[in-house]
Amino acid sequence: MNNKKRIMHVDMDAFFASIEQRDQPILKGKPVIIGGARGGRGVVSTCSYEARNYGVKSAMPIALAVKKCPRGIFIRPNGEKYVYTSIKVIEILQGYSSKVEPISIDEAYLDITGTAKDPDGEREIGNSLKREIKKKLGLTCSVGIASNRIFAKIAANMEKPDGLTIIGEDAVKLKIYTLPISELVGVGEKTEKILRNMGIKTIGDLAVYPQNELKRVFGANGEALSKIAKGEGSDRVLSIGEKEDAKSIGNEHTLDRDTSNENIINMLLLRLSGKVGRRLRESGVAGRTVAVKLRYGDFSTFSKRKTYPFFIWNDNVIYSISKELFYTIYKRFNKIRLIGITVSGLSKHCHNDNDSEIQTELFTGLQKIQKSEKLIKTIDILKDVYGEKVVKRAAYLNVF
Amino acid sequence: MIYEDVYEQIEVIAVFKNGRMQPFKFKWNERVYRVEKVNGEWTSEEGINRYYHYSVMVGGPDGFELCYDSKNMTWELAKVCLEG
Repeated sequence: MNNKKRIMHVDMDAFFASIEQRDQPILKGKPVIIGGARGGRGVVSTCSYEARNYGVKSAMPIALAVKKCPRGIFIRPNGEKYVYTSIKVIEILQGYSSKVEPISIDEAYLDITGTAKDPDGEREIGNSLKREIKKKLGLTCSVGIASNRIFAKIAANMEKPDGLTIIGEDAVKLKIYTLPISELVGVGEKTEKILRNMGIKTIGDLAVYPQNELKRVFGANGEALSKIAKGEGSDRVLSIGEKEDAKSIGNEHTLDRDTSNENIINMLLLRLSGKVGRRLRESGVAGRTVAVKLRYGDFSTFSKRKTYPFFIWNDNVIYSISKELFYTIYKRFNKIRLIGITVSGLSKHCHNDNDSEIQTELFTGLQKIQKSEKLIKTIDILKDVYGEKVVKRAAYLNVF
Repeated sequence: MIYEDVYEQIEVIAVFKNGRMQPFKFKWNERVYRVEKVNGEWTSEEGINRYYHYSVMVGGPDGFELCYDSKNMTWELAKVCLEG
């Protein structure tokens, strides 16, 4: 048995759009765009390959997508259907490895080390998995297999849609190192420009470039870039339930309309605080740094952070701090497009009563917060059992 | 092409087989449709209430989304996707 690390990357092809085309075959072969409605100010979530031929891309404003593809069929996303289908995909993948790590709703890594003795065996596994997904769910996916996550992901992108690419150890130089650096995860437009000015054009160029020189130009990121190009440090696949420690937990929201209405702004801060607090508690962590980000209608973006000597996880405390931070950077009457809240400096934390005494004494009075803490815990239990929508603050009514 | 929400209560005959439920026939606008193919199915929840959704074809290019409300034991025609 071959015990060299082998990682598989499975990427569902145009996932949301493909589900809609599967469910309504009349949509097959047509440019389907999932996102907001025509005339709305949302963004494209994903689109079919037919729409991509018109230049429509994910994250593109809907208005621009309409311009590029006037005959496109715009469909609002059906989150529950996509999540359900994603779970079904993961159930199928778990038949091929005990280590399956979903990284988003439509992508996952599998550790298939030792499963096949040669590339032909890997091809058989890849094809079998693709066939099962097609048969049970009516969807196609692209699969890449390589010695690490980075190269496996690149491989999966090589023959999209419905592709299967295997990169053996001996093929890395030929198939990966010859690719332009823009193919590498973590290399955006700015980084690509700098690298090109340094004479680094391919992944191979970056892999052999002196690391200390990259460090001099990019700081700590230089070392990371070098490692990414070599595929180093990316061969671990976590099983479901096994979590890598998060460095921060945050949420942001783009408003339907830019606003300077402080009631709406405060409600949004409250809602984001609730979401972040809930995620902190779900992950069993608390953080000491709170950061607030705001973006005005002209896309100028500002942020402010503050670190505290105590750990924070209570929605109301996050809200109090966020509000304070927000109003130190907000220029009154200017219209806001987006607000985000992040808690970082995380540590494993038992959310007990003593902690809240520490985290709350600086704020609105211990008694009031202790009461709110009991309420938060009760609401958490209700949400665990009946879903996230089961309870919402009365303050949100008429605002969201 | 028409792709829109309907959300009208309808009558459905369903088949229960091998631990699964699938719509067999449904009546909408005084017309009975026989389900030829189930393209996709999924569930959603509202509190303790679970909904079973089915995207079905009835022998032509048109598609229908049927939804079974398990708490109230009612069916709805949720969406239609019609050619023309």
